[in-house]
Amino acid sequence: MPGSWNPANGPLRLAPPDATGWSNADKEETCDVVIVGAGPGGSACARALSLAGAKVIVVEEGPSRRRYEKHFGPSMRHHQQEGGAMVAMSAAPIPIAAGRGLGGGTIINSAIAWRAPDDVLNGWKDVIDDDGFVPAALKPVYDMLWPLLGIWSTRLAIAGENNTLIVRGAAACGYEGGYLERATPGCTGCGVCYYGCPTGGKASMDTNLLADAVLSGTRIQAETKVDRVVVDAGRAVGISGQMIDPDTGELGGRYTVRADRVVIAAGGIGTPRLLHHAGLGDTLGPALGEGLHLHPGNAVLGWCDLDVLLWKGATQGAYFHPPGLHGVLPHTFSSPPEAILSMLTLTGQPTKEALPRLKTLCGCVVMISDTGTGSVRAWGDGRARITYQFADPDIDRIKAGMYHTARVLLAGGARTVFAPVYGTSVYTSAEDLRDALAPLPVANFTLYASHPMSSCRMGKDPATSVIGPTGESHGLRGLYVTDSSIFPTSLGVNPSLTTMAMGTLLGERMGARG
Amino acid sequence: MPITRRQLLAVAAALATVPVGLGGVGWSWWGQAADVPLRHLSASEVAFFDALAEAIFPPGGTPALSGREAHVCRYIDAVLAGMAETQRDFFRLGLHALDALAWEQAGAALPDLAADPARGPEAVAEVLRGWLVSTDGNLRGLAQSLHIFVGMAFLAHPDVSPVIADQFGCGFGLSTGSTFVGHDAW
Repeated sequence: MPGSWNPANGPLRLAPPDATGWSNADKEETCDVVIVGAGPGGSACARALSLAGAKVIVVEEGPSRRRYEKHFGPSMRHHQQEGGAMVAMSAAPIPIAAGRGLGGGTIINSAIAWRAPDDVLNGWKDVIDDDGFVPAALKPVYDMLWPLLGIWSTRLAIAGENNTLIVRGAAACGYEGGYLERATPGCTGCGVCYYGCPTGGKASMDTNLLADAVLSGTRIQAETKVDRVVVDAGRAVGISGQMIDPDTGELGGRYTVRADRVVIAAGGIGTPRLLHHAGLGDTLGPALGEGLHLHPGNAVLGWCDLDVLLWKGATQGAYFHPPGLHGVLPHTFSSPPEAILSMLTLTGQPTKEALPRLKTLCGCVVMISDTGTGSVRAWGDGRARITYQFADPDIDRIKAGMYHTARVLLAGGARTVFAPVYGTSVYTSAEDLRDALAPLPVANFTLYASHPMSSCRMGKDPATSVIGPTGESHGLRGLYVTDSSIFPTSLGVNPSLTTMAMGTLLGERMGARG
Repeated sequence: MPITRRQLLAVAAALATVPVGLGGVGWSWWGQAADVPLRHLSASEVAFFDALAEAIFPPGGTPALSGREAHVCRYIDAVLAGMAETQRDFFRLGLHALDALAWEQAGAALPDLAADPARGPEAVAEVLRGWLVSTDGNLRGLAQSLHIFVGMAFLAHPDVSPVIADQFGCGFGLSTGSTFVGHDAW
């Protein structure tokens, strides 16, 4: 693929692009394609379209420049959708992280890089009735992205003790595993990927695909929350949104774009939320917002005799495959001390006595490819209304994964293990944790999710999908979607790379059609 | 204040996100002058958080600083400033629901329990411990979320963070093309 990237020069690492921010004055523009969302799907699509000669405008809700800070609160105010306050209502509430800003989810993720499993993609072929997304079709795009983003296996020098412990433990248990490949060409192991990379070492979209799109002619309007899709004669012909001051929340002018095509790329929650809020639920059919998958997960922690510093080292740099458990992917996580402290449920002087010991905690989160599903709608004020129904086999697989994770932690160096699950204690054997977990309902678990997907599915049947294989919606001509919401099923691995790959392919298809 | 189960669910859901962070935070809240007015917390809500913070982080030990002395309520007030109005309403609804629950369980609001010489902060801690291990998952989640909130404030205080370990030794503060907002802007 052309563009400013020359593989001979190594990964594409550009300065963050300029973006127009909010203003008080109303503004109207025209272009060939308007893309809502500057995350991995929108950025990849914008780049492919710009390289094909299309005039593209990307509209982004988040800030026009990086607003990173070294603690969760300040960063999340600017770089998470709804300030980090999105929750799926379920048997147990599931907090959901979704990024915003130039780079979207790639700003706040750990940059873990997986190719979609072949069996998943082959399954999609039957649903989509198109071979455009089979393994052979995605392979050249993945092959391009790997060197472009600078994806490499986490090196020991920056891994940190928690990742090393998991690799050591998995090897001792005889499990397949190792250091994760991550899109982090300049990583120095800060452990703060979730707050926005402070060193520029992570390959978030604003340093590569989005920046390259801008060099090819794409323009970015940020600090603008889209709330309408403009429809004329049964066709999407633009968008309209509200410009908002990111510091004060003050409403600015209205921003309107007229375009030949409208691409929504606001993510697994943001896209169906926006389309429902825009009043397109009936037009786009019964599948809009349905079938949501989350990759929910629960952590297992361990007390060690050595300093682990769970908040330092490569963020999420190691993994293993529990034997015989398909679609269960334990991998490490980083966590600020206060979040760990709350899991200990201490009060009084014991809380203070625990402070110096926090550095000896190790941990690993067990993520599953879920068969349970949820739905996304919009509250009257535009926030997402998310519900989720757990499937019994999923919670059984989480429990089984937690057992294997406890084994790995103990084999890696933990003296005891415990889980933030109500009704459990601290154990010296994985079998004791397994037995304690066995009878407990999902309501007792402390779940978390950061991979919302499949809520605007691609497929051939308008009754069960929202878009077809070109990315265009069944119900409204000129309206396209490209982000993780289009995945026909749960992916089973971290979705950023596949979101980029799908965005690239759909952008190329749109560009080829002129 | 009466609270319906549906409202409690909504409150629990809103606060369950605390582990991933909420709102904008007044970064140097601990250094604010006492006469700087709070923007959102009322006097009774400040008393609620002071009692809670003192129960989780009492005076003495290492560090000697207590939760109230760390001005946790000022941190919470800054967090509220960064929330959307609906979220802020849910948050405050949750505080009032918990205070009412303390009345039911211990016969007094948390600040009154803390101020009672015969009962004191240990009585507040006992109420909180009950919530943290409650069989009601929503109450448990709500209490745990407030625990994290208080912890976020206390652990970031300059007198406390050295006790935990060196944090964030690389990255922030380096000039590598990122544009950072100064702490004062918060």
